[in-house]
Amino acid sequence: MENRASTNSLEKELGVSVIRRIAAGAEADVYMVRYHGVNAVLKVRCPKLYRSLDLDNRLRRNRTILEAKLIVRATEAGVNTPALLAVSPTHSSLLIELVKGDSLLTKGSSGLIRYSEQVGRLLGRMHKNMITHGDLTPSNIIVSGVQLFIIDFGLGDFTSTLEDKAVDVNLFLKIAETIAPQDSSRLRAQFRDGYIAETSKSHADAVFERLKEIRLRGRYIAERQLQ
Amino acid sequence: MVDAVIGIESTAHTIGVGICSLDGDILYNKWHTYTTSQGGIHPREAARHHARLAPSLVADALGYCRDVSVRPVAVASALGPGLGPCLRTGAVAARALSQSLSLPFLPVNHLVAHVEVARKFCSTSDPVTLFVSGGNTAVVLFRNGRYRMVGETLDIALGNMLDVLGREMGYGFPSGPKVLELAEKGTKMVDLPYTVKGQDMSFSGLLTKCKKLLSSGFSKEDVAKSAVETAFAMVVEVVERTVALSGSNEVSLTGGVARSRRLADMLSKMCSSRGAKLSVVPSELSGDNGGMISYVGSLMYGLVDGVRIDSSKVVPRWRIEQVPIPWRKS
Repeated sequence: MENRASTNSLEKELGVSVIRRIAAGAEADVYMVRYHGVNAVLKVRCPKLYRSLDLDNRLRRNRTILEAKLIVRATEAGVNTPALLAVSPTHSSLLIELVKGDSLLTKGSSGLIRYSEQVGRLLGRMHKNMITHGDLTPSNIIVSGVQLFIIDFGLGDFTSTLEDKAVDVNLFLKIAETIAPQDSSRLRAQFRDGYIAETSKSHADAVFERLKEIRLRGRYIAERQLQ
Repeated sequence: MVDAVIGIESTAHTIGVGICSLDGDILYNKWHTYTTSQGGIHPREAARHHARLAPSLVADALGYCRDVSVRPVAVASALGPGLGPCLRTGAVAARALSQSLSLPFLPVNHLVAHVEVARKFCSTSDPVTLFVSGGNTAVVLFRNGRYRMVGETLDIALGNMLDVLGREMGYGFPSGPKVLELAEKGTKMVDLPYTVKGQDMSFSGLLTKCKKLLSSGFSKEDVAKSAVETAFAMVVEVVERTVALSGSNEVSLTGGVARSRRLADMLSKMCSSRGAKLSVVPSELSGDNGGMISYVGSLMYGLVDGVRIDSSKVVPRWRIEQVPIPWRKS
């Protein structure tokens, strides 16, 4: 009931009407909506009742505004990402272009092998433009025809530190390796090739060197004893 | 006569001995925890504490076996991960027991033990496990024959952060429970670094900020509340993301910090919003204990060969991904 009411005032504010909910993500509810005669996506960061109200408001509002800025910047840089149509900071909501397709997660290990080079390219292009994604899991990559689209910049940031870039790479590879453990070295090599194509070999070397360091920082890593 | 495995735990602050039947019933579970009046764990002092208490803990366990007709069939020992001096002390006790009774020696990974003993109390077989203690903060999933840490701390453990914060406030080890108690009396939330990087977390920035707040006059209660609320929100968010990603419908909470009512409350709110269920490990099995080691020993028994004493070295750094789990189907 509470959810429904807040969607109503949001629909009024943005001039949209909800068709149906298409996903209940970890952070946000995602709706298919009608907007000026076209279908679009409405992402609503709903309140999380488990955390304190102040913290919840702060996180949802800040993440929404930052995400809007990142989408615009990524679009300008030529990274495939759905266009931003409208923002509502009061409802922690974004209205975004609808891209048809399925997430890379649904394509399993064969999808990862097929697309890891392209994911490397896209991430390389983002990093070249000072954008880090912060949550580049296969479920945040949409396969649309032969193209990939990057969605959900909710944990992204404007930064160009080696650390943040390596964290991005680490997250994608770590999950990819969990889904397809038997193909991990192939996935990694393909991803790296794509990343180099958009940046440079020396840049990729630096990022992957940092990635090695990050993994060693995890707990109970035997190699760390030798350092 | 019931056949059972004796398990010994000594990875950090606690020396414990447990007995688990081959059917998986934890029959006996006694432990003693090293504490300080000020300061944190000194590994050598903790090991000395363990060495002092191990003989009587083992003798009591053997006495129990005689009294209730339990026949030990193997000795399980938590060989890692943990603090070297503490691990070695428990391992010496386990080796001696294994040799004197001519029983196979089963090396147990301490992390696997926390995860498995919590799973024993779950209603589904494949939960997302949140393991939070003084030494660990990890979100664990079982995939392709191994437990995998899908999210973990990049620096200090959540419990460690609470212990150090408590130490800064002047309490002895373990001071985490004291911080949790103070947090309940806090009235104001102060903005603290909230660091979730993908599935991983960082607590050191939050700790530094809390130390600064304390020295600039903020009340212990408010700092404790802000630290606890922020840190718990971080782990619950990572668990929520793992639940969403894996499609799992149960969350299992384990480790010493599992005793926090606030954490269980937050997780259960998150779970109910996603149609999932929360299982919290019983408090006598949440902290470090020998019962969980003997339980994993009972799972290993018959599937994993015992190791020779001369290759029963301790493994202070031993990741959960390195351990084969033959008792679970891939």
